[in-house]
Amino acid sequence: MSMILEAFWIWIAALLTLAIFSFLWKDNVFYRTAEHLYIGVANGYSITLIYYNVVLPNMVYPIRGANQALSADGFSWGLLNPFNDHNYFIILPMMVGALYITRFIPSVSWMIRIPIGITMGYYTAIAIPASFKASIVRQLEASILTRSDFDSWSVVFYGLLIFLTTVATLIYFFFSAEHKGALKPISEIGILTVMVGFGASFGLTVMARISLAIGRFIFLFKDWLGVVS
Amino acid sequence: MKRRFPMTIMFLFAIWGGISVFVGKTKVHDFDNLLRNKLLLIVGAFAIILGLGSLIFHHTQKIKRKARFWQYSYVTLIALAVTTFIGLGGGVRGERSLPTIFGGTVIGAHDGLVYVFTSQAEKNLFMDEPSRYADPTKAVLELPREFETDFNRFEASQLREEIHLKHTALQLKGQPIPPMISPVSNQQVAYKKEFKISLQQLYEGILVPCGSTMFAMLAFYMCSAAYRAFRMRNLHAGVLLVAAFIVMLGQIPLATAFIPGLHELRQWILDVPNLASKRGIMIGVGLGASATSFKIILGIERAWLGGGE
Amino acid sequence: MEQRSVWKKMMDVDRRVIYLIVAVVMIVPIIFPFDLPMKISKRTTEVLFNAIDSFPEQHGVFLISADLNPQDQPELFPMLVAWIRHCFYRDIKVLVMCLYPTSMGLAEQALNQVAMEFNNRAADGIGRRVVYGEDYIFLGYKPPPIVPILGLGENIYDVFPRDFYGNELKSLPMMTKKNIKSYRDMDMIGSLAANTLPITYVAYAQARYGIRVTGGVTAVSVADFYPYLDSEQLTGMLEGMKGAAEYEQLLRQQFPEENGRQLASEGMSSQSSTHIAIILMIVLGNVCYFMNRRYETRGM
Repeated sequence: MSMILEAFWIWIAALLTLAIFSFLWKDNVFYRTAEHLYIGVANGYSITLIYYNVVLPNMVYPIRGANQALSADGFSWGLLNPFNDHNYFIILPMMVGALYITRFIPSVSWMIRIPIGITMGYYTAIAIPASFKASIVRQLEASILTRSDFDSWSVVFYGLLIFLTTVATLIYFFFSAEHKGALKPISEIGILTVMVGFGASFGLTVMARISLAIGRFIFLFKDWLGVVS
Repeated sequence: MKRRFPMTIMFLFAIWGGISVFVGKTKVHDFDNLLRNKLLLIVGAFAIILGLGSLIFHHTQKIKRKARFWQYSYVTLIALAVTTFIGLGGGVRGERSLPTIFGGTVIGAHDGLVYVFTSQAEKNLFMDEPSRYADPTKAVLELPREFETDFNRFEASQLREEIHLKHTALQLKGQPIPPMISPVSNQQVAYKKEFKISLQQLYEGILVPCGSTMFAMLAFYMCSAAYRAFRMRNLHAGVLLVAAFIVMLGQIPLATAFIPGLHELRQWILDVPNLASKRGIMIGVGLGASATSFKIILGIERAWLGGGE
Repeated sequence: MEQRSVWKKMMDVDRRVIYLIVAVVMIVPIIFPFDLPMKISKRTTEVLFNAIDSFPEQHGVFLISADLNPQDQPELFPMLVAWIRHCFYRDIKVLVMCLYPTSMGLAEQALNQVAMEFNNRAADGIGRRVVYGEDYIFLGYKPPPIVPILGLGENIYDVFPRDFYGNELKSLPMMTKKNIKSYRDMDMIGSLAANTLPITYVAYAQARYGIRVTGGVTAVSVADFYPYLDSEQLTGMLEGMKGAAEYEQLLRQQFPEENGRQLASEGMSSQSSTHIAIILMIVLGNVCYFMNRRYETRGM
């Protein structure tokens, strides 16, 4: 890329950055233009990349290949075999996918439920064991002290503390029994634990948000204005 | 029919998905791979049409009705059209056919030789059948070995820079320049000034600054909200505030360099009480999500069907 | 009465005044930075650094799932750059893929930038050249996330028959020399994301195929990942810009020739000042609130 072109795009990026920041003062024409430009470009970008990465290799090439094979060697059952690189079988999922478009035709719009149902059914089913194992079973395992943990007292102490406060947190969120009697102090410990957790999340969120603003200012002052070397 | 049929299909695919998790390397396994990697991918790809259609519909309606700020809908629609045009016509790096490359030099390589073409069409012809059109006498330079695999990702100007760099380095060291990079006559590889808009440039010049600045504004909103609304009204809020302060101070060098133990205290908060609270919440959420998934599969939860019959 | 109105006035100060203060506090240290060493987080950054450092030289393979969007750039882009640099220094092979289309631009930018850094240095006689296809490969993008996450456990060529540039994946020397076929031939997955994708990798890739997973995550979600760190489902992680800056520091310590731009470290002075400003603002906001309330109840 030539230097001139590079400078041109840095200017565009800088002006758009300023246009969006201008919203902090008040809503204005520059902000709204940049915002609408962003939506248009973002969608155009995604369409293009989906075309190159999904449509071409998975739809266009297999059918084009099948057409060539058909004209060269005539029909064979292999052309309907979905395991082959080039085949006509993929027209079937394409037809199912095309049902998404029925959303725009009121009389048959219910048919959109078919592709949604297929993808949702399949992915929900494979998600259940995966998330159950990763987020529940392994977490319960990790809360349990094993023999090797007793090599160090601090590990035992913090392990127990984590275990008890985890139980307290679960009890705080357990609403099927009224929090009174023995449950009351436990759920109080639970809510205090949760508050520390939220505090930690807040502290980290501050860093995250500041990082984003710093990123933009570094761009403006270093890459664009060159105030800092 | 309009509800039961989709629900039945959903149930069948859920059963298939459930089975696929537990089978070993069998035909079922192979078909599951095909289903996931190819067939469902194709089905899902059409969802983009739905999203795109909704976007275009929304903005055209806005223009038609002259709704508030309708003029800006033109910006979105034009940006969408131009980006798609540049993307599909010019390719991600401007490597495809015109008209997004203006005055650029098009180069191609075959059998370790680099060729310069006057137009993209000429190059396409060559690339389709290089062995037929490749004429070693027309090659402008021999390709250094390392570019052989590298070639497709280099733009003309980059390639020239790379060669120039290597050339200069060898000259500076007073070493002889090997023939593979010497026959670059300036005339032959006199690259014209390029003016080329590629999708990557739109990405770096428009998408990145707009997207990141919109989120950067959150920093300002958060500061304003923290000043106005973060009140230590009771014990719980106090605990939250203290934990937040320790975590915040423990993560900046200006504080950890001068207050001993602060960094470790922050780590302890994250490692012990934070861990316990997040684990408790996570187990609860995990159980809830699994229950909801079962309800969807068994047809008890039907919100996904939407309204209507 | 007079004093009460001062507290009230301070509480109701125009939001733009606050914005201005924040902007100044943020910008000044960018122009006049102060250089303070970072304390390295042992549980997160150091574990990850040591893990990558223990990959077998010339044989290690690191799969980076670069799922950063433009809005995550300041936090996640420096991590991506640092990981690639670390791998190139140690001659570990790098595979980069994306699960979102809008991540591809940044992923490619990072690879090109680091490759150019190394090749420029190599031209000066320092270090080695890195070559596309031999040292690193950009696989491109494949939706939806679950397809490549599970597919790479079976056969990478089914999921990515060609790389991002259209080269046949099987034809690239790195793939054939190292005989990379699935997760079994890789040492670790690094998931860079602003959401829970690292956990998706844990739940699917790790649970089914046993590969180690690490995360480079935005600070917003760091706290939520600690349970996975404790259960050793994640092998270390990088915590937002701070984690990236720590990693950059470790790289500089280990590899003195490191002279590339330190994107995250550049922002840490500004982080320090803004953090302190926010703490002061919260304290001041509370003081105003309680003083005002005291005067109001007395007045009644």
